[in-house]
Amino acid sequence: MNLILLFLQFVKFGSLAFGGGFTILPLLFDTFVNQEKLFSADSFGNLISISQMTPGPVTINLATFVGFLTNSIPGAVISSLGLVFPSFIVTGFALLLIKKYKETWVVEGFLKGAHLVAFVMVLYAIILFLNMSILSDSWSIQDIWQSLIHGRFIGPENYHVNLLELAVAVISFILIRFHVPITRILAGAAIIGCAVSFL
Amino acid sequence: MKSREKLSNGRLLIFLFISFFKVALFIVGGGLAMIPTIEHIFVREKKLLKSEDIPDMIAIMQTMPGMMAVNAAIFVGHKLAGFRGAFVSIIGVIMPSVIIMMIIAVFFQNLDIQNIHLLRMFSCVRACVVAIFLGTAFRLAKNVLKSVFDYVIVGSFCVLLVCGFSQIALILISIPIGWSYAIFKRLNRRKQQ
Repeated sequence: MNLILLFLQFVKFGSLAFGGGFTILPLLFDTFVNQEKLFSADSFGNLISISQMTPGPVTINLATFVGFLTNSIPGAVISSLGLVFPSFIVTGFALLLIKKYKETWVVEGFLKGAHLVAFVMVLYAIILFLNMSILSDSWSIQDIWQSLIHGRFIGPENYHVNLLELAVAVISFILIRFHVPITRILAGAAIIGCAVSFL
Repeated sequence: MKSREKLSNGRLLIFLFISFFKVALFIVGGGLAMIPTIEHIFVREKKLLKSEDIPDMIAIMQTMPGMMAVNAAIFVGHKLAGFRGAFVSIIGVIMPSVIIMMIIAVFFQNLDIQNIHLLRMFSCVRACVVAIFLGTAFRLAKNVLKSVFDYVIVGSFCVLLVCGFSQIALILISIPIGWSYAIFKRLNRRKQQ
């Protein structure tokens, strides 16, 4: 694949991703599995989970991998640059405008509304990460809602609570209260997880 | 305490690059995971941003096109050092991904990770992220939840999300709500004068 074409393709993906990279995953699937037949459906699924597990933004990881497969190292660099290019332009200018018109009701109201959603999203993220670590099977918010309505525990089959992860979460929360640097806590959690898996 | 003025321009750019490189290393499973790390480095350690800037940053992360991590990098970089800062921060945030994924692409061509050690490690990191988020939620609440209005809106948003509303729809609804709040506030002020 042509490098310029690759760049333009990822510019397109980047400008369509509103509200986070996850929103373009179906589009990526359609492009690379159905149209270009670069991956089978299964290996694309594996690629998504690898991108989720490796450090870094999920979609950037994906773009790098795709770029590397088609055009090796230049491809990897070009595709991730293409993905971030629209954000750089649009967000950069939006920030300039926000700074300039900070006092008007348009910007003040926009920020007010967005702040409220931001807080809700942090609450949502807590549940999201809870599902991926402490709880063994993925719970939807609907499950919790149903449990509250019916007054008993409703969840996916074969659920269990991962005690190690629960302990890690509790200890990290205490450490955070004592102002231990977060990067150190994260590194510690990674080492503990790796070490325990060898037992 | 290092203040923004004391760092020279070049040093600031290098600092931005290194910080976002570090931040990106600890994004596991989605851009929201970077919020606490950014808050820690830029607000509490270096005092380059104020804690009121964090809700602004999250707002920008979610409403602008593109990945959340990238938009956060642009926000911080742009705020501290203009367009050059934004550029350097973006490069910092994508660099670890590019390097790590290239190594993975070389070794795991068959795309099948079943390594228990790696899986356990990532799951522990995510558990830690849960705890970190709880801390962030407490601190954010101080900046965001100021009046009864805020509690009502946040409460009803939570209920909507539970009922299966899409996140994008919530973001779109929130903007007119914010506008009506701002207009209402201005009308009230005018009435009092």
